[in-house]
This record gives sequence, C-alpha cells and structure tokens, in this order.
Amino acid sequence: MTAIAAPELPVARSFAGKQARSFARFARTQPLGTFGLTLVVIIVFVAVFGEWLVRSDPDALSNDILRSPNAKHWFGTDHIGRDYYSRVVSGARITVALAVIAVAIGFGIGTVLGMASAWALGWFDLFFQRVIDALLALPGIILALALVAVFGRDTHVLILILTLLITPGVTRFARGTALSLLNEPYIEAAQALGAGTPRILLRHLLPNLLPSVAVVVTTSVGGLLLVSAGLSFLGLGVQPPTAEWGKMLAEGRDYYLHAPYLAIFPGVGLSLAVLGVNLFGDAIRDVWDPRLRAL
Amino acid sequence: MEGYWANYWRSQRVSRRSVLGGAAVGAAGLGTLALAGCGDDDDDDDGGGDKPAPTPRAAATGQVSGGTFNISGASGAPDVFDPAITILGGTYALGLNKVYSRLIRYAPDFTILPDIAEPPEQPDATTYIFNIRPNVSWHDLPPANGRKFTAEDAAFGVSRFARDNPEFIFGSKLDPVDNHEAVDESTYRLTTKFPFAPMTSIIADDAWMMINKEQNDAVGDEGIKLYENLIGTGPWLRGELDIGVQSFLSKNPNFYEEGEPWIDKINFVPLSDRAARDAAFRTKQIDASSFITGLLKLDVIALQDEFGDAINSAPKTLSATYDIDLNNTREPFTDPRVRKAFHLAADRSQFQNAWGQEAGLLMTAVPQFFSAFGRSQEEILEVPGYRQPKDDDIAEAKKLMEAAGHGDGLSLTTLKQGFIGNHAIAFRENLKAIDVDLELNEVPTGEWIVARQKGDFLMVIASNTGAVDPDFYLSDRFSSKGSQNFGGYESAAFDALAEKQRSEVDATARAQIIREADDLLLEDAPHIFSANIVFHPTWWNYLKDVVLVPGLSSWTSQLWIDPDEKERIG
Repeated sequence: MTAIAAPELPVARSFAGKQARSFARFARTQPLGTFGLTLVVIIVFVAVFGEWLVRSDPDALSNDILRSPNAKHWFGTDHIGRDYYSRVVSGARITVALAVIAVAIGFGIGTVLGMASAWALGWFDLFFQRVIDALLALPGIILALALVAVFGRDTHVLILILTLLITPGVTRFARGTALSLLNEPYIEAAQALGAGTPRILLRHLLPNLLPSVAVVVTTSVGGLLLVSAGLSFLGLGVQPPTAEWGKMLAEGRDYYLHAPYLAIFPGVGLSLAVLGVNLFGDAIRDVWDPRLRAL
Repeated sequence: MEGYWANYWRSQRVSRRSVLGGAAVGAAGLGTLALAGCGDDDDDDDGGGDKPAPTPRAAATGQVSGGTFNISGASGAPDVFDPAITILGGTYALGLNKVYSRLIRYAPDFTILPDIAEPPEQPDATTYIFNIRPNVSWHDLPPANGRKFTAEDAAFGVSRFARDNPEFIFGSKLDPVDNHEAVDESTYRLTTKFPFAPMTSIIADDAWMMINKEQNDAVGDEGIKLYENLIGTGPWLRGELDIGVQSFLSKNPNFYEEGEPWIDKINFVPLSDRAARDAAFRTKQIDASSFITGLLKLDVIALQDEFGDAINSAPKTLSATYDIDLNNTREPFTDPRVRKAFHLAADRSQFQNAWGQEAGLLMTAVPQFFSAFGRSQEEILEVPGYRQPKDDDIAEAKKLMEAAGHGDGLSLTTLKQGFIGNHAIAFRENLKAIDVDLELNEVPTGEWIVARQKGDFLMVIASNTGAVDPDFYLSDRFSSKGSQNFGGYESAAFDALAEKQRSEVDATARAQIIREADDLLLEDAPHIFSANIVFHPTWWNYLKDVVLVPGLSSWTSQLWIDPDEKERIG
C-alpha cells in the first residue's frame, strides 16, 4: 500500500496567502496604519539589533566635544565627546524596552484584575474599584515623585511607575468589557453546561476580552513612551550614563544654541516612535472594533 | 615684631578704590583682577572721620544713585541664614553676603581689604589688632537700633564661631586662638597660642560675618537661622524672601562706605532653568547672572556674539572644588597602590570636557590660584595623572592594580552629586582602562553630604567648599584630625608638614613646606584631586563697577546702573 503524503504545503501556502491577503487589505484600507507599522518595525529593529548598528561604545569619551554631524560622527558628538549616533541608536533600546515591558506587565495584570473584579462583583468589586478610582485620580507625576522618593532613581523603579500608570486604566476597561461579555449567551450556555469558573474565564471570557483590551493597550503605548521619556527628562527615570531619549533631550536642551542636533535626533526618534505606535494603534482599533468596522 | 601676615599682606595690600578701578576696566579674569589691586595704598579711602570723603574716582566716573538691580536668584530654597552653619551659595546670595559684613575681606587676588575694621596690625607673631572703623553701625532695626559697632561686637562675632554648638562647622579654625579681647571701644585684639599663618585669611573668609549680640541673645542660635531675624552691618537691609517667587533687599541708608550702596533695591528673580536664565538675561528681566554661579562659557560666547560689547563677562574661580573622595579606611582604598592607580587613570583633560568649557581650573592638593603656593597650570600638566598622553600613566596604573591583587578587575559603587554628573561619567569611563567597573549612584544632596561627613562611603564624587588660604586644603582636608578629612587619611609625615606650614610665618619657607606636603599627597593619593570650579558671571554693560571675588562672597554695594548706557543698549 502506498502511503500518501499529507498535503501540508498547500495548507501552509494557503495560510501564508491568507495572511498576505489580510495584510494587503490592511495596507490598502489603512495606509496611515501601515505607515505607522513600518515606523514601529524600524524602531523595534533598531532597538533589538542596535548593538550591531552602533559604530562605537555609546559611553566612550573623546576630546571631540560638541562636533556637528560629520562623516566620522554621523549625528555629531555630545558635550563630553560621545558619539551621538551610537547613543541615539542605543537609546532606542532602553526607551522602547521600558514602554514595552511596562505595557506587557500592565496589560497582563490589568486584564486579570479587571476580569476578576467583573466576575466576583459584590464587596470585592466595590472595594477594588475604589482603589482603582484612587489610582486613576492620582496625578502621574505625583505618583512618580513619591515612588522615586521612596525607592530611588532606578530603571526598575521607572518600570514600576509606568506599570502603575497604565494598569488602573487597563483594569477599568477590562472590567467593563468583561461585565458586558459575561451577559453574552455563550457564557450563559457554558454555565448551563456546568463549566467551572476557570474554564469560563480562561476558555470563553479571556479570548473574547483580549482583542478589545489589546487595542486600548496598543493605543496607550505612545503615551507611555512619552511619559517614560518625560520622567527621564525630569531626571526621575533612567540615570546617566545610560543613553535614553528623554534624558538625551534634557542634556541636549542645555546646548540648544550651540548644538541643536543634540535635541533634534532623540526628539525625532521619540516623535517617530510615538507617531508610529499611535497610527498603528488607531488602525488596528478601526479594524478590530466591530462598531467602527460596520461603518 | 612685624608678623608674617603684616609683611605679606602689606606688601601686596590694595586699596578698595584700586580694586574697583581695575574691575571697571572689565574684570577680565581672575589674573587681571589680581593685578588691578597691586597699587600703593596711600590713597585708601577709608580714613578717619565719621564719614570718609567720596573717592575722586567716584566723582570722576559719576556713579548714579538709585534704580533696582535685578539679578538671577537662587533657584532652590536657601537653608539657614547663620554663617556659622551654612555653606550654601543660595543662602549667601539671597541674604548673608548682603546683610552682613565681615571685619576684613579679601580682594580677588586674596589681598586683605578693610571692611568693618582695618586689616590687622601685628605687633608680634601671635597678636592681631583690629581697629574698628569709626562709622560702622548696625542696621536701624530692633534690637540693635542702629547703634555703633564696637570692639565688643567684634570679639563676640568672631568667638561665636567657636561656640559649643554641634551645628557650627568652623569652630576648629579658632583652635589656635588663645584670647579675644576688646581693648577699648574700637580696638579688638586677638591672640593666638602660637604663630598661626592662616589667621588673617580665616577672619577674612566668606563665613566670618558679624552677628549682632542683642539679636542672638533675643532669638537664640535657632532664631539666627531665620531670614526675618537678619540684622547686620552690611549694605542691604533684609526685605522679603518668597522662595521660588521673588525676593528683594533694600538699601541700608547708614552703610559705612560713603554713597554706597548706590542702588536702591536688589531683586532676586528665581530662574532654575538654564534656558530660562538665558532668556531672562536676553530680555533684560535680569541685569546680571548670579555673581556666584554665573553662566556657562558656551552661553557667554553666544551672548557676546549676539550683543557684542553690550554685555560683559569674566571667569570667577571659586575656592570650591570638584572632588572625588576615596575612603582610605575601606578596602580597596586602604592600599595606597589602588589609590595611586585611580589617580593615574583619571584623565583630567576629559574631566575638563565634562565640567564644560573653562569651567574648571586644575589643581593638585593646593589650588593653583594661590600663586605663591600652588603649582602653575604648566607645572600641573607635567604631573603624572595630569599629563598627556595617558599611556604611561595607564601602564603604571595597571601595574599597581596587579601588584595590589586586582589585576582581574574590580567592581565598585560610588555616590555622586547630580550637579557634577558628567565628572562622574568621565571618571567611570577612565577607570575602564584599568578594568574597574564603577557604578554611579546619584543620591540627594543631603544624603551624600551626611555620608561623606560620617565617613560612611566608599567613594563620593561631589563638590566641596574651599577657603582663601592653602592651610584649609592641607590641614582641614588631610591631616589626621582635619575637620574635612572625610576619607580618613592618616600620615604622620603629612601631619608634621601640615602643622609646620601653618606655623611658618615666612612666606617663602611656607611655600616650600606646602610644596612638600603637596608632593606627599600626590604620592599617597588619598583623594583624586581635580579642579576649582569656574563660573562666568555675566552682566549688561550698564551695570558698573562689577568686582568678582572667589568663593561665596559677592560685592554689591559699589554697583551702580548707568542710565545713559542702559538707554543706549535699549
């Protein structure tokens, strides 16, 4: 009997083709979103592979101080002779990493807490939502100052601050969406069939909750990038000599008359990153939000 | 017997007028200012009589009374307004320098000038006689109510610094003093236990301002800390202090220098941000940058490019220093080889880049601005650790690290002050050459100050105060009982030299001993010596008679605003 090979290739090709068609449709219907995605990909590429892209140690000093961009130093040098191209590229990593880590943690914690609050209701929900109210009412900068005063200035503290800034909003949104989903017939059906709480939450609620929360989170990455850079700009975030765009902007500000490029390069990097994330976030919200899709 | 200081200072003594004359030429740098004072003192304008006659120069140059002088004020909150406690520049700028005055003061070149009293006479090596000028009175505010300043006040004012108050930081400077005595109403006699070379400099130094006894009795030492209790003999009366908003001082109409202060009011505009300071200067919201901290050279160049001779600027070398303290009592700095390796690895040319253009004047243990005692710039640049290129020094440093058992490298953490962050970054990079990984831990100012004073640190990269005599940089900082020997350095040989130089009244012999002590410190490397801090005070040219002095002092009573020039500049 001759064995017949399973037709895997056509299936794979079919899947890849479907993805390509989806992307093409996305690109056609969301040109700005595609542009945003391109920027995001470039920034992420620079962040991930920056180590191989830099031309010298970003912290290495030289006596070439405040040199304008030239063939040797593409982005010039800073006030203590460091190659600015290497610092801008190196700065992408920490700037993006901070936002991504904080978003990932905030996304995870916020979704779980929101879902739990919606499921439990009662006193737990009442109390927990007041805590969220309090956190949402607290101005971000006050929270940041308080945490820095207690824990000191450190990258880990900055991640904690960013996480605390994003988590309450995600929690509140996840709870609202979960409350709505819990009234859906398929949840009632699962309950009627005797499904336990973990199964309902993980198999039925979470998969339907994630896309909506993901859209909210994606659109908030840009804001988080700015907050992160802002805190570093104020000296509350990443500490020197680590290259970070917000910190570099702060240092460059002192030389705006003599070496404007010191503020321009990290400023452009930050602007493009935020623009890219926002355009992409808006586009996927348009695509995934059924109300907007109907329009 | 003619004492050392009597000889030394008299030989170089300057008149107040000649200093102003020199400064008016443009105050073009410390060196130039120093030269400005080197004239005959026959024409002193502070002679007898209730009020000295106006100086001819004053008449010739036509000082104009009136107007408000707007200056960049301290951005941060001042601390306490007691000169026996504070070393904060902002506190000096906002009140102390202007409300109080000193018995004597130092000129830009460290020569001694009269202030409340004439420079002291020295009948012998241990006696200093201060003759109080006849026209000095306290501010016309209760409880002093404008009464005359007496020798009793001088004795109280000086001896107060040695009061048994744990917050008073200058008391040890009076250890060599044997007695304070008011001989008569206008003669204060200070006697030392042994010939003590720095005595006159100490009395003329920034902190040594005269506090009113009645006020001190009324409000206690705690009350003296408060702005609202400021009563002095200086050119300015306390006004209002609204931290972070605006502060002002008003003219003391009974000030003892004829006609001064020429200006009616000093307004302090708080400008914490460098860009805001720059903008405020350009738009003439302020007539001058702070005279203590000034502007960066880069900004001055840009302003001069734009406004030409409408603005004026000069470097001000502070007695304060950029410092890297090593704790000599903790591993690995108990080993002099490690300390020396760190000293050799430090690249002072990169430090200079880190401080900014013309922002640091290199020094060994003794600052080079003490031209009679310190090494010149040329000499310093020959010293291992300072010389270029660094190859030999790095090779030597590596050998020392290997001999000390750290050939495989070392990881350390240092406390650092935010203000000189670039200095710390530069040193961190320098140390990579000898496989030392230095982690920088920036901590709030209070924290590193306390850690440093308690000796609870391994390394601290921060600034430190200075003084107007080399003794401070030797005895206070490095003798085993020195009040600022934060690193716990101990050397019997150095102690002997430090003691010897303070007792030596011959300037040449003292300079030789100081050089030996400096050599010993470079060899033992208890500390990474760096530089004195340099700022660039800048002012519009309609502000006249600007004089810049090192340290925390600033002279303001002689300033005046030329209305014609102001109109011309627009």
